[in-house]
Formats: sequence, C-alpha cells, structure tokens
Amino acid sequence: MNYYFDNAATSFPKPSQVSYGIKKYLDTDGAPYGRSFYNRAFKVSSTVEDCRDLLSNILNISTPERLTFTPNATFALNTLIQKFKYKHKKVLVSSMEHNGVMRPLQFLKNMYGIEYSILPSLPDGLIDLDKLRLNSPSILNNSDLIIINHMSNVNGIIQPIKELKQIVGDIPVLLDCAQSAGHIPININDWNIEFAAFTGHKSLLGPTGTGALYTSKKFEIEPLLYGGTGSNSEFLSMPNEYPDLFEAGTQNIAGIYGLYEALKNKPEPLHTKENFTSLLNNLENTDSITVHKAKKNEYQGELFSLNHKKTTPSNFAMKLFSEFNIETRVGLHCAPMAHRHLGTSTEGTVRFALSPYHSEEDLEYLLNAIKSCI
Amino acid sequence: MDKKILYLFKNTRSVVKAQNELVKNRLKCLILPVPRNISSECGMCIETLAENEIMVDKLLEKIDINFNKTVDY
Repeated sequence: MNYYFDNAATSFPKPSQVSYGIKKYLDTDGAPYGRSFYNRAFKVSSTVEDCRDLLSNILNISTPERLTFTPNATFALNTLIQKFKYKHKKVLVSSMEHNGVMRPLQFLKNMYGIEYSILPSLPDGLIDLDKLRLNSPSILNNSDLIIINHMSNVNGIIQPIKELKQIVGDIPVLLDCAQSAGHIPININDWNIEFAAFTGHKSLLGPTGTGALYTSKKFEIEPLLYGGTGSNSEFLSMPNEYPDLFEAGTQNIAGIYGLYEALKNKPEPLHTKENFTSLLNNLENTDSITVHKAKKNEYQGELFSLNHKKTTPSNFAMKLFSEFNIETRVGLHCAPMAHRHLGTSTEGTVRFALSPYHSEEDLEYLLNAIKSCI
Repeated sequence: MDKKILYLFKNTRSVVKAQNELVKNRLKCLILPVPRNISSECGMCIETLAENEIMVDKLLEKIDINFNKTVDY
C-alpha cells in the first residue's frame, strides 16, 4: 500500500534507477563536469549533456543549451525574476502563485518599486481568458513580464498556457513548471514561452537539489551567480556562452545523474485518469468536506486539497495519519496568495498529491480513510 | 608521423557534441587538454588527423557548433 500523498512537496518513491545513477556517479564516474580532459571527466560531461538533451526533448525545447541546471525551481525563478530588465516596472501574475514567485516579486517591489497585478481569475483560480481577451488593452498595457504557475500546488488547476500566450502576444511569459513538469505535457516551443522554471524532484521523479531554467534566445539575462565555469577562464567576466553563463560553480552532478535515470525510466501510472476522477467525484459528493479542485476536469492535475467543515486541517491530517498512515501536507503550502483566492487562507487545507506509483487500490484506501475520518 | 589538427571550442557542451558527432561518423579523435600556448575558452579540445579536416568541418557546421582549429601546437 502506498500511503504517501505528499508528492507535491517531493515525490516518493523514485524509480529504482535514480539511486543507481547517483551511486554510479559517487562510486564510479566521480569526476568534474567541464573542467578536465581525461576519460572519466569526459564521460561525466557527456552524461550531464545527455541529461540536458533528454530533459529539453521532454519539455519540447529546441535549444537545449538554453536549458541550464539549477538547484531547484526557486533558484531558476529568482534568477529570472531578479535579473529580468523591467522597462515599465509592471508584472502580471496569476492568482495561484507560489512564494517562489511572490517573495522575489515582493523584494523587487520593496527595493525598486516594481509593481505586480493579478490577472483576472475564476473562483477555482483558472485565468479568466474571456475577461482578459475583452480587457486586454487595459490589463496588458505596459506589462514587462507575465508569470504563471502552470499547475497549482494547492488545488491542482492547470492553466491554459497556449491560449493565454495567444492573447498576450509578445509580452514575455515566465512559466513556473514546478508541479507540471513530468506530470502533464509541456511544449515550450509550440506555446512560444520565453522563460520557464523546473524542478527535478517532483513529478519528474528525480532527486532533490535538481532543477532547470529555460531562457529564450530573444532575451539576454544576467546570471544570479558569478564564478568558475571551466570556460573563458582567462577573463574575469562570465562567458556569454550557454549553458555556461548560468552554471557558475560545480553543479549537483550526482543529482543530475539521478535525474537522468529518472527521465529514462519514467514509470507508467498504476492508476488511470478515471480512477482519479472517480476519487474526486466521490469526495465532492461527501458531506462535511469541501474539495478544492478545478471546476472543469480538463484543467485538473492529480492533486487537490480539502477542508473538513468542523475540524481543522491539522487535526484532520493528524487523524488520517495516526489511524490510516496517510501522509499529507497541511497549511498554506507556501502559496498564501492562492489560498487567499480560494478563501482558505485562515487555516489552509489538507493537500493530497498523487504519483504514478499510486494504484487504484491506493486511491480506494484513501477515499475510505477520508470518509472514516469525517 | 601522421599530421594532426586540433579543434577548439567555446565550452564543454560544444566539445561533447562535437566528439559525439565525430564518433558517430567513425572519425578517430582524442580529447586533450588545451595546450598552454593556445588561447582557448575551454579546457578541452579535440585532436584528429589533418586528413579528416574537411569532413570534420562539415559535420560540425551541420550540428551548428562553433569552433576554431590549428595545426600549430
């Protein structure tokens, strides 16, 4: 039985090959990336580049060199948000943003007066494309950057990025794919997305300490970190080449080895989309709880939150754990803005996030456990 | 002794991509540290037989890899 429903925080379990990859690096390959010429060093450099190519392929990025490794999505978001050149000091965000976006934005607001506004949204957090279309001149006017949480870590809503991009045109979009990458198809090229942030340890099923930033060729962005790259060493300025510009210092090579194995060994889900929908429908029709999810199934990722009408989220989660071993996350999930939008900011919610390793039986067990705790 | 040529690249990724392409096309090559007397922007370079030069140039251009080359090292 898989009791772990905290996959939006970090996924567990991982494909067995992930630890093999990390061990292979630590015990066998073990050399630096891009610093030396001997066979083991070249093999390490090749593996890192193979991982970059495969990840680019999965995300439909045609310029892999523009996909640079970072320690996590937060680092990628900070790099872009802090180093983007704001002309009009105006940013638009979705109503479901995580603190990984909002805290750097708040920092920029305090330091440099860069203002952010929230895009029109429906009650479940879905961007209201009709309203945006109707009022696009006034909403979009002088916007430097639009930041979108692709899949909410609170209610699992998936934003219609392709349609949104068609409306906003040339205004660059930064897509926060922390929850979506590995879980739903991503097509950076076809959607014409300028920037995107990824993490390796959630739905991509890789180890913690891995992530990536994509930056379009159309923009020159300064790095957040300066230091050695193994290239251009005779100069004190950073190289202009990618990925070097954004990869100062030794990367998490052991983690990248693990991520590479995760990407090559993605498991087939043990449950179907219908199993998940059935779980949600069942819960929605259960008295005493409120389920926070997308109104329309087509915008629903495999995570959701709920509140018991009489018990606090922490008590409810504790009961689920102590009586049924169900592991969840309680509270604001580092996304207070999303909770404000959903009207759950006082106590937060109990969150359930699936992984491919949940079977139909696991979902039935969860449903019965929740019902027993009501 | 066979005459050799050295290919120099901007960064590690380019060296890796270039080596892959050469190996894929059965061209013998060797990864070397960049000789001290050569100004390069990367610590690694690729040595191959000078007779491969035209072929190597074509392959690298095909995969859009920028390079410099020298026989004087």
